[in-house]
Amino acid sequence: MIRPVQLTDLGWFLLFVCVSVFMLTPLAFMLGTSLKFEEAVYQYPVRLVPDEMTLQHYIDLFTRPGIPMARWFFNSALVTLVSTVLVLLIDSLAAFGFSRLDIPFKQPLFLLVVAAMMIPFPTTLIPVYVFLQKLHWLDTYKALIIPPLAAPFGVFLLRQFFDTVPRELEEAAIIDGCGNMGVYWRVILPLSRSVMATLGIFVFMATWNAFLWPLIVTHSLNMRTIPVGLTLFNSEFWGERALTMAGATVCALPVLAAFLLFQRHIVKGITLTGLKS
Amino acid sequence: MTQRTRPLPRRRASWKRLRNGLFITPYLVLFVVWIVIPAVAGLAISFTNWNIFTGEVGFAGLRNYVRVLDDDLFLRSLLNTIRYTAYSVLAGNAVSLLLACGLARGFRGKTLFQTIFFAPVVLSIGVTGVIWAWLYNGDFGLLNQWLQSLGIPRIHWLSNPHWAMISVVIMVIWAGAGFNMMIYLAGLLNVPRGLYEAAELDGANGWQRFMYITLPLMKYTFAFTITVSTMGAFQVFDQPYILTGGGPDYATYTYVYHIYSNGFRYFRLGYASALSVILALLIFGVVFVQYRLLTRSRTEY
Repeated sequence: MIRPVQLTDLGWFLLFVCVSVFMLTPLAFMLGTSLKFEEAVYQYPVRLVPDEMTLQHYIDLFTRPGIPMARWFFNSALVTLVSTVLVLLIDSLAAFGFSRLDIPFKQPLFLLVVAAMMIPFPTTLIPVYVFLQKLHWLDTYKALIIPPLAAPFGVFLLRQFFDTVPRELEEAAIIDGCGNMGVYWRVILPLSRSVMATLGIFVFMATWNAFLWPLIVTHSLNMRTIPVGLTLFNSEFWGERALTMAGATVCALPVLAAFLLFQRHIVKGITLTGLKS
Repeated sequence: MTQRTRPLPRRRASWKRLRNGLFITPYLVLFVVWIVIPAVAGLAISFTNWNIFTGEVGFAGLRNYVRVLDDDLFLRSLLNTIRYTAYSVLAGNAVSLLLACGLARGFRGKTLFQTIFFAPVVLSIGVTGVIWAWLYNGDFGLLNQWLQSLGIPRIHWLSNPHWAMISVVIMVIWAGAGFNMMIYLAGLLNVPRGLYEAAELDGANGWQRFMYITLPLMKYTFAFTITVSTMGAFQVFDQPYILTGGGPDYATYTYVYHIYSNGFRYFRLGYASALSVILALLIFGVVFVQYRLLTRSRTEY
């Protein structure tokens, strides 16, 4: 009984090694190319690991005229930071209200919010665009930050979690004289650190990586975020492979680092959404 | 006096209920302004011939909806989208499930493999797109170099209309398989061990255990992953936009690409809105049927 199990395990192991090569090669190609000297970049056959390395392309990325990389980085960082903080605050307040408080039309409103998760994004895209144009918000940080805050996901995720927090804890707090705000701030939030971290990482990644939204609501080169800015390398700087890969690396590193640091939270978040829905 | 005091608690209660509403107000304002009103407005705009470039607005009745029948690119983009959806949902979920089955066995190094398989999920499509554009490059691309070293002639991944959509799908599977893998893994680990042991005693082999225990028990997991990936696939835009620009010869021109072109290049807001409404109805229809089929109970435990 033991032998065949070992054999199949070996099969899986070999398969997984192959899949790992497939998964890691594009990343190795990105990082390797970005570190190559100019002469080595166009060598064929392509070598994944450079013999000699240089950071010149990263320096070019931030100093060459016509590539506002520093500005894109600033835009991405600002939009991501502000969006994450606002989503955590607004969604947790709303989720607390939906989970715990007596509010007129609470149930139908919550159902409406959940149902809205089903609306495909192209349906609202054009009216939102027209609205932003009338407000003269196109090509501003407001347009990048505010409309995406309406996404229902966070309210849904947090409410699911708040519903599982035992009520005895709040009752004690209410007897001690806490109002609703006190219960929210002193009881619910401290107990929800983990799910708040999960939501925070999700929003961080979704905002940092967003492509279609910044593509549509910004048009000047200086208001782009990094992912949209990268497409510049497909047009204006086409062919500059090492520069392109350095840009991709700058965009990828923060999210990859966040993933490695908070992997546990990310996995938990996905599992929760998958199992609960 | 007694008559006056009676309504008082009720009034205070309703005042308190309204004040409680302040907790959900910030979110609700955003929700109404950026989702509810636009959804309704989108429907309304679809009945007009509004062109934001020429400034012309007029009631068009159902004309936009009739016009799709004469629009060759409507049909073309819809068929491309259906093809993309079929490939990416089936192949993508098969890969995710396969990887999850391996991970669920829990051999050594499992966590490392899990991290590697999931890593591409966290990258932006901007990053994924520029990397794969170079990997697919017909002349200096890594993929063709590998094919040649195996003695296979090079493939013009992105410039050959037959390969372009497949290239998009391969990239999407690389970038996304890890996500559903995690969901399947959680589902697999939820299946009670005892059932497998009992089946093994009854002489069921690995494949039978998978077909008769795992699949029925994970019915709702499948319903979730398949419907969610179908919804996403029907809305595909970013991937072909970056990798192929919808080409060559419209081979990767998807439905949302058509909406994007009409809305944001030609500024035909009325027509683009009608296309969006049709898409929403299509998605609801397909997902509804899928969900019913997938959760129709054959086995209950």
